[in-house]
Amino acid sequence: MASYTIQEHQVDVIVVGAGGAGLRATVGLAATGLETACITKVFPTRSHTVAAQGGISAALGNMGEDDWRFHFYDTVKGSDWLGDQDAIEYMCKNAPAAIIELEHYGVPFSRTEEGLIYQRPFGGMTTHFGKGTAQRTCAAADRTGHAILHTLYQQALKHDARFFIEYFALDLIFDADGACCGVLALDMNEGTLHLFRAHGVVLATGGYGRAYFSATSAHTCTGDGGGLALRAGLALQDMEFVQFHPTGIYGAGCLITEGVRGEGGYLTNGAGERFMERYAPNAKDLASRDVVSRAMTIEIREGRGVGEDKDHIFLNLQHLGADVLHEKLPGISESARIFAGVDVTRQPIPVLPTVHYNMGGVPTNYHGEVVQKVGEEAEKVVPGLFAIGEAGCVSVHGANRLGSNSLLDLVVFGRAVAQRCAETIRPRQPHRDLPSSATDAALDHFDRIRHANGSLPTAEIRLTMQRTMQADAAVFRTEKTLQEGCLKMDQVFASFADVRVSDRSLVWNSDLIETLELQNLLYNAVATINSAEQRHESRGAHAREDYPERDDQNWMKHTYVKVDPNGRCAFDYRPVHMHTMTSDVDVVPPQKRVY
Amino acid sequence: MSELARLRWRARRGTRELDRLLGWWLDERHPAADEATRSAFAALLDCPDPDLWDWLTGHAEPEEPRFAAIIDEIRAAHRV
Repeated sequence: MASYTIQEHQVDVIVVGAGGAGLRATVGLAATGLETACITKVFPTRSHTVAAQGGISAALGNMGEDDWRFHFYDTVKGSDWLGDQDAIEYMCKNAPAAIIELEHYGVPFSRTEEGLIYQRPFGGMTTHFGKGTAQRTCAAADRTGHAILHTLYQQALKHDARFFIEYFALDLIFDADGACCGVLALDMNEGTLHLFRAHGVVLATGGYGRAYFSATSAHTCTGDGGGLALRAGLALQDMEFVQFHPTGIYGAGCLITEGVRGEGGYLTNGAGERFMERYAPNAKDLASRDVVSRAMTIEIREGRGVGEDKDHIFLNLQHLGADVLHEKLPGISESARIFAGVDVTRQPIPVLPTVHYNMGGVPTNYHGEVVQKVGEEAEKVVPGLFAIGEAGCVSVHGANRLGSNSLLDLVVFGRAVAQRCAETIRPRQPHRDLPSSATDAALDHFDRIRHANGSLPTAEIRLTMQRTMQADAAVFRTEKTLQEGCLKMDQVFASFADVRVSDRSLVWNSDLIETLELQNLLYNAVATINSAEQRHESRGAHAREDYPERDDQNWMKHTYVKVDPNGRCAFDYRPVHMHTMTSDVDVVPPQKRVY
Repeated sequence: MSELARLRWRARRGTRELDRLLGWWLDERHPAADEATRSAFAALLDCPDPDLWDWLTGHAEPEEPRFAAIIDEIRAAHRV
């Protein structure tokens, strides 16, 4: 048994992660008088939420007619009918209040001349159930994500929330009754271990984009919450649904906004052909993200890519002229020059469909409580455990997320968790005794990785995983490629037993931390590719060449996946909620998703 | 070693773009940099991400003169 000194902290609620969701939960929890601690591996305002520049949706109706029921319809349709309609009702109905709260906290939203919050149109956001165009997306100039993080962090400090910054969560701790009662974490700066005891543990750790080679995510998006949950034997939900953005810069992954195609940018293949005309004769280059990503992938697979290896596509903006680029597409010229070495007024940008968002995650109800299938009970609450934001799956995004609904998800469900905890946890309620053996497994796990003395460097296993996921679990999915990919991912997962951590110290041991992150990524990756293999239909972001249609008869259900310590997956299912929370809105029955 | 590891962790930003640019300086320029420049880099990492991006793309200039040399090096190497 490894011997470590553990410092114990007792609080009412512990939040893991300080992005938009974690900070919104922390503010709400601390404001209700619960003693709240937030542990985060990076400084709060450096969370990936900062990259969300587009805005946050809510049917405020500041720019014309709008109604949360229209927003509800758009979100159900966007989800390709995999979203739970009660949770979507909860999100869209609570959106205006959540935005007004952010405004009161101090988020500097852009204004109309009358002083109202300005709202812009965004893809998929309509009025009157698809008939008109909604202006529903609020923004704080081009710094929405940062403004929200900064404001919430200040609010959290004001309410005396305690932050443990540059702490890495190692494992969840459960009591004998199966209730989550804490987190074991490493203080990276001091090299000390800390047990945070709490009546509520909130996972707000974000997505796992770095499981893929080409992802728009920052390095820090390593799916730590999913890893924690899977290692605790819990199931994740709908992991096969990964959203790809069509225009990530080849090699770098950095995003070129969809706005460039709105302004007249177009894609070409190796023969110089504007191939989108063949795939989407009407919308062409303006077709939805999934359609464009699939078309690009097919061109490359059929040998019509560009470049030496014919493995990417060109995005052409040369004809737009420097003025349009400068005025309407600020930042694009710079991104292309920095990350592709391209002058967009003279050369095309090399691009590739790039992982952008994970719809799947830790399953929850609309209070943010983690649920699992136990016997015949499809959604049994795991006491003490919550999950929100990209780490969770509530499921409001279903098979495909709409732009500007992710920031909304963060604040609405961050708020919901705080409200739920205020109802169920008494401030300073005593903690039950926990036998010291409760942390044994977590300590052994940590010690094993710390002293890992195999032959493979962490970076090598990570690269093999990223290339495998990119090749076989990306946009193009068939039985053959997915089965090959599952076998390869089994091997990659198994190779982690042979990982080598070269530095044994505990203080600022980046090799150790990256190895712990890699393990989390591997669990998420195996869950994703195996979930994709078993879903025999196409729905939202999950497009199967061999099952091109949506199959509501057999597949209108959520996937539950568990991953054992050997990387073996076990599946179960639960029905999609085809009911709403109240009678304020009617269920949207399944229709073909056409735009 | 641990000072470099600490900087490497703090060079992890909220966006992929900044990860790459600041990571580049750490890999390529930090080893040969003098103490003053190294401490300027450490201070630069405390700045908000949107400010860093504006400086690196030339849309604004940092008020702190000691940041300018680092920003310029990154910009020159990436032909911004």
